[in-house]
Amino acid sequence: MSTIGTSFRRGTSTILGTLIFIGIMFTAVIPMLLVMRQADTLHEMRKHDLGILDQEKAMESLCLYVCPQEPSSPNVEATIANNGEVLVRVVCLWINDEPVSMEIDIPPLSEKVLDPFVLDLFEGAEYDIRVTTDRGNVFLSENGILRYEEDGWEMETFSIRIFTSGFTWHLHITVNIGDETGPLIYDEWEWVGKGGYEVVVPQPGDYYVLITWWDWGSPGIFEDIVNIPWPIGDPWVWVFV
Amino acid sequence: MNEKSTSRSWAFSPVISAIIISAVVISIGGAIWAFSQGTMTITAEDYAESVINMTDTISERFIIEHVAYGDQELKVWIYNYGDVDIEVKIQVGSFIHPEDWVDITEGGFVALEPLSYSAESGEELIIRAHTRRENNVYYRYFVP
Repeated sequence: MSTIGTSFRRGTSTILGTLIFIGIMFTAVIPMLLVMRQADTLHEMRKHDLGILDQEKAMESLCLYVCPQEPSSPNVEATIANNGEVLVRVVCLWINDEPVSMEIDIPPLSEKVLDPFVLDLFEGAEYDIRVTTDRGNVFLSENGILRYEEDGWEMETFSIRIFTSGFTWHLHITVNIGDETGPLIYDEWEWVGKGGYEVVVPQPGDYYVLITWWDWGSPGIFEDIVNIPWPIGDPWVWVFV
Repeated sequence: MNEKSTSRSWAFSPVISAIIISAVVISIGGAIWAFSQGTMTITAEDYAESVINMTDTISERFIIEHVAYGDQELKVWIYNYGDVDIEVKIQVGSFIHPEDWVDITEGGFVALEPLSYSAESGEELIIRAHTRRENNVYYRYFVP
């Protein structure tokens, strides 16, 4: 009787102890481990997000082109070309030390022209234009610093560069603004050799170029509309004859 | 018979002894349970908090967006493009500026109070911006 009683008491204690142990496991240890695991998971997710953010930041590729609307106009136009593969949000335009807040989305491989802004014109004025993106990149103007001198903005020289195949040719060159019906701005015979020849034009845009040789009656050896893509591209265009 | 009588007089009823030992087990077990639950709750909270702090630390993203110098004053603009608020100071040479941490909310940018600084034209300044969470960014600036 006494032996049976002891074993009963031990059995009860063992069961209770086991229940308490299981209770502790389920109400304290396992929740703690779950919380820790959850925190670790959130941490890993955040690291992953940050990795993507950093990668996208590195992938941003903007080109900012700034040019005055006219050679002596205070109105300046900025074109932002997104050459990258991620959508870029421009959040700030810097004109020297003055930030202008904005929010402009530029899809990949496309460009946006900002509304023209007005700059103070005085001799020797310099304007350093740059933009900041929401991923923390700052892009400088591809045209460098804009300078205003006595006779207007210091701008690029725009030209049509004519090259021949190596021999020296006596060519008749005509250039019209726009198309063949546009104003004739160049009409000369020129010797064009290895060094080529450069026809300076007043501004970027389309030009109708007709090049003939020897006499007026010969067929044109070059006849096409060419484009000077500045500020998106070079301030000149090549013509090969 | 005499021995039997003694053991009977010494022994409690098996049921009562079982209740007593169960009560002891429950008391001690309950105390351990309560203690371990409290300890593990605190441990879990501490761990989660430290992980959150660590996450905030690695989440900080900021740049020195712009620097300007004129009239013996250095102006610095800082842009916080990360997802957490930051507190920032800058260091130029041995100068740490400003005295108090400057709060910049997420996505915000701040022009710090100008720093009185004497620099010569063409001088190279290395500007370090650092946060309370000890992240740094650097900016090389040539005085115009």
